[in-house]
Amino acid sequence: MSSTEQGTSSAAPAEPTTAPESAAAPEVPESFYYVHGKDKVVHKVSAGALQHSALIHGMISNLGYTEEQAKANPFPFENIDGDILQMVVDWCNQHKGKPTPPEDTNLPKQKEKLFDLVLAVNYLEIKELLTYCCKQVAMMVKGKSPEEIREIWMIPTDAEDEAAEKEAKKRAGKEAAGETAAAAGDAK
Amino acid sequence: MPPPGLHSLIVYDNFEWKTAQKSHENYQNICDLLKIPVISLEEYETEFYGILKEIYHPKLIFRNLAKIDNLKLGIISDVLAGKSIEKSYEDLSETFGAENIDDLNFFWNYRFYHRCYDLDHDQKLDPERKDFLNLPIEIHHKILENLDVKSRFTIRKVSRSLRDIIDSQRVDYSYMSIDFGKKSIRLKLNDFRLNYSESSCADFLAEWASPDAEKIEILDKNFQKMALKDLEIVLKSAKTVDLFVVHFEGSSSKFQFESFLKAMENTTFDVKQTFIQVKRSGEALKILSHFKPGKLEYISSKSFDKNGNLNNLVEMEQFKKAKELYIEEYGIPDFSLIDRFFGFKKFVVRLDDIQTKEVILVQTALEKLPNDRHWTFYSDNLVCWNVEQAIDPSRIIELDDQDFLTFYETKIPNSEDYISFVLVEWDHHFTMKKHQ
Repeated sequence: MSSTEQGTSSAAPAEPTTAPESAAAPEVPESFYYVHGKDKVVHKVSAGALQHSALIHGMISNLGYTEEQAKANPFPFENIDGDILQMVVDWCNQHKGKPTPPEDTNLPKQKEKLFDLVLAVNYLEIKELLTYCCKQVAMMVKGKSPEEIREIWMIPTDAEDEAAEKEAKKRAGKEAAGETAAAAGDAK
Repeated sequence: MPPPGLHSLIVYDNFEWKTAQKSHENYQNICDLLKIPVISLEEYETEFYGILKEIYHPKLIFRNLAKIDNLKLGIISDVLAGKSIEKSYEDLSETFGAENIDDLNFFWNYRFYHRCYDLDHDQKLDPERKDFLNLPIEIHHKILENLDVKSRFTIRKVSRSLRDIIDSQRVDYSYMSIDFGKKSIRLKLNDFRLNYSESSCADFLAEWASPDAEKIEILDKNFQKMALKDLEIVLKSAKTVDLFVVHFEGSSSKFQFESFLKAMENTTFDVKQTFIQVKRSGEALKILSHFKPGKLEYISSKSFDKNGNLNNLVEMEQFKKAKELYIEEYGIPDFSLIDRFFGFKKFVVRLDDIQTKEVILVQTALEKLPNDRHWTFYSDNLVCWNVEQAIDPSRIIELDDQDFLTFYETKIPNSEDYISFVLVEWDHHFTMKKHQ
């Protein structure tokens, strides 16, 4: 399993420093977790960056893993392509602890990649990134005609849709009839 | 045969002090959800008490992983009970021993059951999805929410399913206006305009529009029907409208008004400000009655006959709860109704005539009210001298008599506040303003 280290490099707990007596509580060292996608490439991500994902945040907030345990138990996201997970991790790192801007222009322009990203982000419950992605998908069809939209989003016309539905029903009917005939044959 | 996990569910229900009957009810709910067969109460009770016996048998090692065959039913039971993920984890750990719970699996399962009650769900997304139609329906909604008004109209023509989504969404508009004329109907939604007419010869004059404004011309002999259908869809899906303008031209027909009222039926959108122009004054009240009182802050109305019934208007909740009112071109109230207007921060009314004692009455009321009141009175029979007579000369601190207007600034005694008068005789109106 290959491994790419993302996020802050200071994974080890910080050396205790002699703080002045008046100082507030000592800084808690940042904890890190590990995630991998379909390609099994493991990404190290700080808990702070992962807060963007409600799914992962909900999971880790109860785990109390040590660094070793976290490393030994990377979260498997087998349903997310490696490059898409990389994008998500990058985004979480870039926006760690920062208010998210009203727009994000660094989203993929390629339709398939964007749809994959939407699915991954929806699954990981990253609300802000999902909003950006949905805006970007909506922008694809701005100013386009209905025919162009059908082409861009690959949407069949109602007539095509109905024909496909009819065809599917017909096929299902035939299959059912075949099964009944076969069952009758068996009974004989 | 009972489903896998029943043993653990009973152990868990026992931990929660559920009786056999309550536990069976819980089990029934889970079965309903999962669409799996239910076992009878009798059979369940046998299982239940058998397991209880095992639990309390002193030789039995209760926290035996082998017995914890499946925690899924317990997790679903918690999801059904609305238990938080933390509480569910805590309770299950206490019941079965934290060491016997696979943390990661637990959290996955809990979250999945929150959305999907499928016991065999394999924690994977559905197959390869690369196109729009295969995105989850809630994502379709989210994407379509981001479309501008014009795109929403276009999307409705793409397919029935997209049209249904668009029609199910509630939209906020900063501006909506509907102009009805004999030969054309114009609909303006934010920056988007739709002109419906039979020919390019419309009733409305060309007007200035921002360069970004999107426009669609619909030339069709059925333009009325098309416009009213679109209007109905727009009104039904509107959630809030900051400024709602309805404009019935002199050439508009009664049929158009009735059709508009019909389209307004069953609408529930909130309007903040409205400007209503109608042919017959009574029609304005019918439109006004559709707006939620309290949400409507600004009312401006105009009728061609200028004969509006103010007695009815002042009784409307929409009137009572508004903050600003402009009805100088709507109708003429009797002066006895004037105190009904004192609640407004700003109003403009038309009176038959204005006598000195009436100005004094208004001035006295204004003195007692908070600042920033701005009241204007129109009267075709305005005699400025009648107003000036009402102003106490000892209070005047500034007087400016210009060609087109006369300005008085007066100070209210024992107060930091002022009342200014602006008299514009040639335009038959005067304004009183209370300020600091």
